[in-house]
Amino acid sequence: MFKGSKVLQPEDLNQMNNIIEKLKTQSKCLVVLIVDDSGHLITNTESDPSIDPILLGTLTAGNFGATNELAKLIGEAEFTLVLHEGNKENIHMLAIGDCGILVVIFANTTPIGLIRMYSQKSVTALLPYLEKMQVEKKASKKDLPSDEDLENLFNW
Amino acid sequence: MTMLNYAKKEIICKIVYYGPGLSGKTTNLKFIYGKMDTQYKGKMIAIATETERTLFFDFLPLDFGKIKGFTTKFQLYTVPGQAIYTNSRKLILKGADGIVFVADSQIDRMDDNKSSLKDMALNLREQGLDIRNIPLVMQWNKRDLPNIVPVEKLEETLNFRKVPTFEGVAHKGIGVMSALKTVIKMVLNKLGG
Repeated sequence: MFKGSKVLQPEDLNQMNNIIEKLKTQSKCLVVLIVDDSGHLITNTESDPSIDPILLGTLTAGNFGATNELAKLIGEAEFTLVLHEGNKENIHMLAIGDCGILVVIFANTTPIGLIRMYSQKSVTALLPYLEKMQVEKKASKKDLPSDEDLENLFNW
Repeated sequence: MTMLNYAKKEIICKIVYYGPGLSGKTTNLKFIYGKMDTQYKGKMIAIATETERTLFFDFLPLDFGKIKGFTTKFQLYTVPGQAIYTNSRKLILKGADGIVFVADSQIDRMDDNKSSLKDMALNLREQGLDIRNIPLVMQWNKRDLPNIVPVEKLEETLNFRKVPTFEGVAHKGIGVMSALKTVIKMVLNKLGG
């Protein structure tokens, strides 16, 4: 099992951003997010300021994890898709291999088939970038706050 | 696990508060939320029952801003302590970078403390993590109550790794920020090799 840090390089983030922007345009959805399996938000398209993408990412990962436990209870290895339907808006979550989750928020006026088709295509395109993130790597000490930096940061 | 985002110049780490039910994990997070200036904290969420027992998890994002060119963020989670929620605890531990084990100092909770520590070791193993080397601190909480176990006994029974420990009264903030600061330092030191 992978235990190192996840590393995201600028060029890979650009590629992932291009993929989710394209998904947003083609599927006519409202917001797209990519979340890793431990709940960290990797990136997202611009969204309504009332939506907190960090919280959304955390809850998505929790929700997806709980759903996979349900899957195991009935003898399935996993559920790759989770859909929540609201009165006006819906959330569509699709596993990106076992590395992350593609989250799409869309209005009721948008056909679900459109979201499913373009989400699936995007997952295929995103998977190599998420797999590439999983590398054993230490951070450079010069990039990290020292003990002294933390002491001086605020009055603990 | 830590995310090193070289595109956004951002480091994100996950800290999990673990321990038996009613030991004070959520109280720790609530105190931290109250203590932190607005600039350093995001919105705290608690997925709890009507009686305020944690059902799934609590979550508090902290953002220490740009230090040494990188924005340093910590995401704090609590697990539900009640024994039946072991599957939920396993999920929350996924990708944890550091742990604060919150023990209840009361004499009649010692068996629960021991069970929770054992449960944590097993759940960490299932996530590919090892209780013997993950950054860990322990808080002996509820030191203001009568009928408590002496600290020496808590150390002897629970602190098998001789990790840093803190006497706590979480609702008054005693031992809360020091435990958090120490685990953060341990996580960053490990991350930097």
